[in-house]
Amino acid sequence: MLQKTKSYLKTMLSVGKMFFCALILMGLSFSAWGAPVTLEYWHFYGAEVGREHENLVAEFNRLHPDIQVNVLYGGTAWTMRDRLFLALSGNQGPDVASIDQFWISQLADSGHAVPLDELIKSSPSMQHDDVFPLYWNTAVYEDQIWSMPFSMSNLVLYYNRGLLEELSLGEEDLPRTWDQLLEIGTAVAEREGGPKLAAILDLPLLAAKGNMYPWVAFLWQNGGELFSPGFDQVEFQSPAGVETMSFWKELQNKGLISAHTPEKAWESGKVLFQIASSARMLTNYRHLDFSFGIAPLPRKDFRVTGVGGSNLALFAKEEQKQAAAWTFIEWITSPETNLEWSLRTGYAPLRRSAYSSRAFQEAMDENPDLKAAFQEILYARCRPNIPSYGDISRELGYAIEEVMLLGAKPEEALKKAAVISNKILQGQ
Amino acid sequence: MRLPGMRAGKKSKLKRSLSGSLALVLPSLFIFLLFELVPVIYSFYLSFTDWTLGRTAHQVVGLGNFKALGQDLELRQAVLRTGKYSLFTAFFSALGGIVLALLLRGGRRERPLSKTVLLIPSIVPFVVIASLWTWIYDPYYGIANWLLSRAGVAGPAWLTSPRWALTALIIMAVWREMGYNALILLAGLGAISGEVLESSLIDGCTKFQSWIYIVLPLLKNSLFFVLAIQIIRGFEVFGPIYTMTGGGPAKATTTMVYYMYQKAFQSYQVGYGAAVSWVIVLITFFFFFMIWKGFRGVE
Repeated sequence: MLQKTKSYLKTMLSVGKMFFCALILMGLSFSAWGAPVTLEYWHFYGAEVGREHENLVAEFNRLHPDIQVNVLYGGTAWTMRDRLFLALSGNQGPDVASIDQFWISQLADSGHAVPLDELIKSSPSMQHDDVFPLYWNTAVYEDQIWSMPFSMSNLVLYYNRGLLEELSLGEEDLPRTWDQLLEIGTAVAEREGGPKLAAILDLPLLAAKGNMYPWVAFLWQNGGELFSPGFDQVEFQSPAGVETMSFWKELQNKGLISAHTPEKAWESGKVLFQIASSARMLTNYRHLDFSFGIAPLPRKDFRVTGVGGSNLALFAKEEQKQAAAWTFIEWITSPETNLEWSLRTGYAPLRRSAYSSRAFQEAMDENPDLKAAFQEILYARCRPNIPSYGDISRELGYAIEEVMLLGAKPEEALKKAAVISNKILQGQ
Repeated sequence: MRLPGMRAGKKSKLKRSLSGSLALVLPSLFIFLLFELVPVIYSFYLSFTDWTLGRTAHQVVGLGNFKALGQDLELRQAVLRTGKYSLFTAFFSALGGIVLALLLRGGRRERPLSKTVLLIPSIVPFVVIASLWTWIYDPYYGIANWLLSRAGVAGPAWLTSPRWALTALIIMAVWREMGYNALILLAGLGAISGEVLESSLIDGCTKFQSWIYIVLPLLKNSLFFVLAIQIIRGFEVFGPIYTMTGGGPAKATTTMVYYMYQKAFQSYQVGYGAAVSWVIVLITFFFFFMIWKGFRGVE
């Protein structure tokens, strides 16, 4: 009897154990099935753009209960770069991140970034051809797509309407060419009386402020090139490069531009013109207490402007996370979200469909500045994605400083930068 | 007479007290080893590799990085610039510290409030100070040039002129460090007996002579500490350069640590950057040693 009871109890205990294990397993699988996939997303959008961006991510989280995107603001582009590369080196990086176009060669070579060609091809909603080819150029490295274009902008000429009026100038007097810029700027510099200006043209002349970006646009306008077609040597020291540098020097000599223009001079309303990113118009400059307008960059032989902004890189390797991260990228660059993002921030529409949408056309009709800025897309060019671009652009930035601040001759400063840059290109 | 029992008791008490102390020290020791010593050793190892930032794999290249450093003209210029920054900052902040300490010595002025006020610049985060001084140095709206204009002098473009940028950073660092130095020197002055000074005055010394021949030699240890700390801080300067000048204009403020940062993070050459960091350690140690030797000779 005792034996029987013992055996019965043993059986019951085994059944109980099995039932308990099954319950735990079911619970685990239910919780795994029910829990959203969590993604870590790092970006470097600050201030108003940052707020708009985080609102957009919150919208994604609301619409996708199965995916939770955790946002981390990485500071400026530079602090973000340091943080991202260090984290990736320790295999602790995010699943998705906003990146500067030029980081992609290092991220691809190091094996951290996931190539996107196959994902794009197999995605019905991505519609490769809907994205302007110009923007794909920012994402391609060695014939593969390594990032998804997201926030694109181009250089434009801002002008202060009030100051223009005070100087008895009309919008028809806006400089369309280099010569006109020099002529109008010199007349303003040499005038007697009128408004006190902190600068006539706010143009970054220091390497730390990104002097390279507008300088390259001027170089292209003058028919020059940064690199030879095979990227085996630099060509910015060409006669076109020397002439571009000499033109900047002349602007400085005539008092149009200065390396010592105070911080936030444009925002203070005491600068007539500024060459800056189109993306500032609806965010940073939204609350300025003066009226401003937008015009194309003054041109020389060619009408060209530079492309800037940031792309999205995918780092998640694990299948489920990668799929979720791709869903996030698809959604945030979809025609609808892209249109919304452009209208909220002033970043250029990535897609033809967003650009030609009724909402966007109406917005452009209502705001001629928006139209002026986005028409420049047709004339925009992006800088090349090669691993040594960062170092070479820094050398060129120093050459600009040497000419503008130390009085070096344009041809000598450019030649010196070219020697160093060619060594960098050859990996010496 | 020493009883065996007593000895054993003392020993076990000592043992207990040692293990108690060790238990208190262990957490800090662990953090120090993990976050200070291990990275230092690892950076020494990295200096012999070709590690590129972002990659996980790397190769040992022996003395390759150090050989390249020998021919690096930019590094040489950065060393000279850093030496200039460090020595000027150390000298003027120590001098300012002495003056402040002498002004505050004794009486009502040497109160906790004065000491707290002195310490404020050195405890405020550098980013805040950098932001403050960027506006002070603004060529149009800055208070520095406004004050100079009151004196009839046209102020320079402090941070955007290659001629003035390093000087501007030195002035800021002297302002920041002076109060800290004054506190150390004030403590040193407090240890000097008033009787010694009184007797020197009775013996016919002027006040100036008693400061030069009595106070300063007796302040030797505090002064050595102040100068050594300032030299070390000067050689490791990075924050103000990163936030205010970005190493420019025209490389005028690219110091050794900033150069190391450029190599490691902008050019992605972490191995080379680590080698630069060890050169910085050696140079700092050399200057420290020279000051130490100099002070040993002072009696």
